[in-house]
Amino acid sequence: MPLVEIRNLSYRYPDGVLALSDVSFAVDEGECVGLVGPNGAGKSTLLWHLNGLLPERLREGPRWSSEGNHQANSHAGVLRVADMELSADNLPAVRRAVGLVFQDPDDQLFGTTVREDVAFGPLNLGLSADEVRLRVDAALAVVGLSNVAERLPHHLSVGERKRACLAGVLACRPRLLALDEPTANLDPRARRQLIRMLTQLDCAKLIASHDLEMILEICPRVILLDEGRVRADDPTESILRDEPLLLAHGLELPASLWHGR
Amino acid sequence: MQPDQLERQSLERHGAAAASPLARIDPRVKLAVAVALLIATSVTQPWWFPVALGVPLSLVHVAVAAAVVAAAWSARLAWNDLARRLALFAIPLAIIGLSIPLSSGRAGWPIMAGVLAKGLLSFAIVIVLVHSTGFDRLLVAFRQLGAPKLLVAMLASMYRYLFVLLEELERMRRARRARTFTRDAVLSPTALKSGAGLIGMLLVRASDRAERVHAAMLARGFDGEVRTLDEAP
Repeated sequence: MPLVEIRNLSYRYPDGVLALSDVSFAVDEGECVGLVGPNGAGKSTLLWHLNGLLPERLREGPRWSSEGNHQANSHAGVLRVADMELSADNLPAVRRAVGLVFQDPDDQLFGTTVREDVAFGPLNLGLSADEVRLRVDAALAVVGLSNVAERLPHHLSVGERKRACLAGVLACRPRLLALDEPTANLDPRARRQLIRMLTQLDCAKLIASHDLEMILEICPRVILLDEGRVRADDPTESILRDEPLLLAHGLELPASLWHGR
Repeated sequence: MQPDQLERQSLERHGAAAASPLARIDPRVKLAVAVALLIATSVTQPWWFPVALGVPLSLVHVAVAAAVVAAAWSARLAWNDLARRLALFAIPLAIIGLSIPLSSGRAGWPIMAGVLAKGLLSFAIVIVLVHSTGFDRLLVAFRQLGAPKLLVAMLASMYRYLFVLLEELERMRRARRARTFTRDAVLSPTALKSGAGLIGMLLVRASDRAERVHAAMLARGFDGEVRTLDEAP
């Protein structure tokens, strides 16, 4: 049984834009999968679905439709996480299983201090204060931010903010880490630190990124998304070496693969 | 605006104040005293004594002002910094206060002066309090003194995103300046129109940001209940 299973997922935004169309794939426990595609391909929309933030954050009860039963023509398909079909009823359990790291760290770091922010998720899990402290300290140690735990988030560099976001999600101990453009706006050193961290994490990872070099380095498998559709789902090298395929979908060959052209 | 500039301007960056005598006092004590001074300032009716000086304040106000001056000195707050912040606050306060003499004639001027003086005094109390304590420690003190959790959470979010929005505003201003090739007067129709557009765009971006922050909170299990580390079971 895969950790995440998506079958025939379609989603249309309220303004009528079709963001996802008949998307199907699965992610196994511990697997690391890259999600690539041009701007507007639907990568972020897909990640938001995994965490139950879409459709419309499931705010108004179980509006999610299964087995292709279209409701209001806006969303359809099956999304299963950790053997649970996404619905308003099991939303908390799904969010425990999937940790979502947003693209802009300022969206995610809303705590007064770094420690308070990292503790936000574990506190919402209903853990004891001692357990929360243990998890916060462990997560901060993993991302190398133990020394800035008491600082205010807006005093951190972009790289530190990204790592603090990652700590906030890791403290919830998710089974799948969904990362939206984790290396965007990072300098080479911060990028390298983040890549090293990601390779050391045991949980499954789904990484949406334009950083094809990073995808090549850490993801054995890649899903290419364009105009809301899965255009390819294969081993990373076979997709990232396929220049015509990449060019057709707004991407280009990673520089490290130029020699093989 | 660069982050280091923002840092210099942020309310809780109190530099030398962190080691000042006032900074060493328990934030809860400072908060309680500040609230008492604010209440005294706002509820005390103007009295005859300083009318001779043109400002209708009572002896209580004079005493509060003296306490603020002493606290500012103890907190090592730079006088020009205090004056600059008070001047910035005085402008909108004076504009609002002008409605009093405009509606009630000559008798309204002393009332307006009283409102202005009370407002500035209250703002000075807040400046000294924040300068000598730091906003984050003040929030903790709020909680410890029994302020509602939701109120404190809202204040914390407001404070956190104030800097994000300031950065956003500065980026937009810089982009506008980069594409402005004429030098219009500050109050010219073009400048006013452009400024209004900037504020409108900031509101739109703030609204978008709020949506994304809410999504990020939901993603980490937020269910409407604000929980903090010091209150966990």
